Amino acid sequence: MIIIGSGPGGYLPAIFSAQKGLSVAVVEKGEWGGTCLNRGCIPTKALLQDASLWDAFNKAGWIRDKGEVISFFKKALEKKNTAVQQVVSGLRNLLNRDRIIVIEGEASFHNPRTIGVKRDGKVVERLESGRILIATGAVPKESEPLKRDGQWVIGSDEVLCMEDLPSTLAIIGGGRRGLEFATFFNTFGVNVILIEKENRILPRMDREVSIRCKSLLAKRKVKVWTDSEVVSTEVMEKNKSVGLTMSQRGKKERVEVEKVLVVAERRGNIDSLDLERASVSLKDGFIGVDLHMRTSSPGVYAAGDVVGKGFFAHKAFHEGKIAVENMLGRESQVDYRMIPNCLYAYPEASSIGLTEEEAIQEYGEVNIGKFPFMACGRSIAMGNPEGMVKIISEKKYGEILGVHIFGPSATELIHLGAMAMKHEIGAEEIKEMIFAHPTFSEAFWEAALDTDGGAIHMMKG
Amino acid sequence: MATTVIMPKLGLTMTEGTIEKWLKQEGDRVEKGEPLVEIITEKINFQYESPASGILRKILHHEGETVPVTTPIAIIAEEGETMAEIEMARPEVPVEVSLPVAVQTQSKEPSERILASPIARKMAQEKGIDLSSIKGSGPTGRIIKMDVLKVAEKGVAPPLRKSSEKLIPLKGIRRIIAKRMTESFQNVPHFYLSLEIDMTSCLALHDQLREEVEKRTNLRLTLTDILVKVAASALKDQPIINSRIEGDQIHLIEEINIGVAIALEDGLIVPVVHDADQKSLTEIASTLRGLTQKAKEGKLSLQEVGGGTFTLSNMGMLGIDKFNPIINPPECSILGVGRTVEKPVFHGGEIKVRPMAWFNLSSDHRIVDGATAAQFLNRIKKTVENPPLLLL
Repeated sequence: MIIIGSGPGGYLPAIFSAQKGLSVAVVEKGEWGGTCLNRGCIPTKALLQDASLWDAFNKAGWIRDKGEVISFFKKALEKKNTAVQQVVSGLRNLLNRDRIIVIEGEASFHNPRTIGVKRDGKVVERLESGRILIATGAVPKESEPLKRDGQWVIGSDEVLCMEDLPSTLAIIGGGRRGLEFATFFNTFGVNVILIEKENRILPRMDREVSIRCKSLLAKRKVKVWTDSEVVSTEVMEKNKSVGLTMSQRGKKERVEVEKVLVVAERRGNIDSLDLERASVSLKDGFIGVDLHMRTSSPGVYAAGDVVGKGFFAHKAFHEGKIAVENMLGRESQVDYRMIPNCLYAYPEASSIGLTEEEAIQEYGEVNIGKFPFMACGRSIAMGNPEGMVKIISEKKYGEILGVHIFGPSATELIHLGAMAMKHEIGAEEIKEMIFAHPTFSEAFWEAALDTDGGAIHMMKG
Repeated sequence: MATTVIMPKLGLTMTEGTIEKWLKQEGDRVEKGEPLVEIITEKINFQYESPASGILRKILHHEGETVPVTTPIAIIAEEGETMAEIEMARPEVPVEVSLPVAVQTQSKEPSERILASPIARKMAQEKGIDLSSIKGSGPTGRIIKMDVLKVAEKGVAPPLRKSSEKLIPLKGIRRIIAKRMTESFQNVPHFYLSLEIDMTSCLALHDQLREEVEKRTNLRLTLTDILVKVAASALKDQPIINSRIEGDQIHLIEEINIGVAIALEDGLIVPVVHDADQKSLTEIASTLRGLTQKAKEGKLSLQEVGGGTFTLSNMGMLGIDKFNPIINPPECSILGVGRTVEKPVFHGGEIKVRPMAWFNLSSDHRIVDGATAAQFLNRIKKTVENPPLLLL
């Protein structure tokens, strides 16, 4: 089996199929571990961890000299680098352990079964297999007026290597990644403007989470512009700033910022693959696949960011595993409803399944159970009583249709919902469980109790 | 005081029973010892007698339901007893009941666990679908929502059948036969041996003994009785055939208990002649006549149909020459005997007319191989052709 790309959509299926006895080769043209390990999940979480520490110290009034922020920021970047090195070398060990052949170079198709690997523009190796998995990830979709120049207009690659903190930063894209960077820079005192073209931030998450998140950002003085699109940029080297002209519902607005971070649109990283030679067809800038992860070319599969449909390492893991299972003859399918969506700001947010709006549309009447962390003992004790757990359940059988959490440990708590949904445990069964006190998880229990109005620690308005 | 009627445990291996028919209706007067309900087990139909006298106040499980042994199935109350008093009395129900077949009741055994998601369970219950009828597609065969929905969908579709067809539900003894024979034919690797045997001496023996037996016992001696005796003697010589297979183990059984297939109007039953090797021909004849009579009246006890180690099926009376009988599990072999026909055969260099019959042996290849089974069948042939060997 040949896998192109060593990110989560590549290395997990590589290990999985090696364990199933296949002989596997992984081709990587850049950094081993792809976006997740080098420029995504791991480094951003390392940075956010330090930012939340700074935030806690700052709020507690322990930071006397605000000038310390720069050295703290630089230390955070160093710590991030250590974390990245650790996971990357860990990955190399795992690939070694399972005798996976690793090949450095740029892969391109010669025909649907043959891959050529180029180094310095020359084909140095040819690989052949009836089982090929494309997991090359995604790249920013660059278009005027927001073309990256590496200095004024930057992307997530450059932002992770910044030497200094800008005074003002415009972030284009009010989704998960935009919010994580907004939280991070806001914590270190940067004036952040968050620009989203849809009518709310976190447009993929439940409306209530998105509203609560927006009001919290406002409290922290992050400016949020929704329904807004940048129509032109103007670099003013003399002022060391960029002028952004935005259109908000037809109305023109202009702001000046020191840097612009673009995290909005992405497209499949496919330019060097020569996909037409493999008869692999595209869909909206990504590789088109069915629920078995099969592309239009028999024997060629794709998984991860390169197929679009959300950018999560765990989605890539799962798709990669499904691809391998199908290559080995088991007709499994990806269930996109079961993929958790996680936001690592503070507080965190997470969701799985249907949003309230989608559930009502699909089922008509549903039960909604909600519990605010304000009423949760653990979060009061910890001093962060923001957010809530919301459980949406079906009326007749109590099946859980969606879980939405905004608050402490939301990205961990979501797996209670994931397990319940995957294995069809209903609200009634959750009510029967014993949750330890005091824990954040209790809020999940109380939300389940509240699906028919039976929450314990809550006043009814 | 009210009495709770429970699903009786009629044999050591019985874990559940199906209520075939209530012989009394709610509100009927019933006397202790009077047949109350017809129960089907793995092996037989059984009329269960009322453990108490009174009014049949409540039937807890209806016809067609299968419940684990010791599950309460009905309440018999005294006349005038209120429901409240009955409710009070219920927890004090004795677990043990005296059974006519004198088998001790054992404490409740857990029925087989069905893996199903909570939502699937609720859905199945609400839609009236029996979970045990569904094949689970979840991890480790767990029944998930999708599986229930698929079955529910099928249920809604009109049944595909012509109006001229008549439906006969598979119930009672037919259901038992269907289940056991399917199990045997699917799980037991059968192989079949046949041998044509000269019946001259055997028929002569039958003729010689018939009158004497009739005079002594007023019973008719049949060829089947002699064949039981022949089989018992051959089994004694070759104990591996007298065995049962359970799991990974072959159990060599000391007693030789020969089941004899008896055709009934609505099916087939195999009562067992226990310790056939210890019994005289007269005893075998009298046992078999008694069992046949009981079988026809539907009065066989579980013991009388249980514990077999070998089965004999004689289809001679039905005009059949050769057939391949299905093994009666967990036994090792079954002998099928065809009709006796006069045929020209070479005997001592001359063509002679001799009465001949086909003996057909089906065996479980897990327990024995062809050579062993062939040896056994030849041992039968030798005895049939030289009946005095039975005296040894």
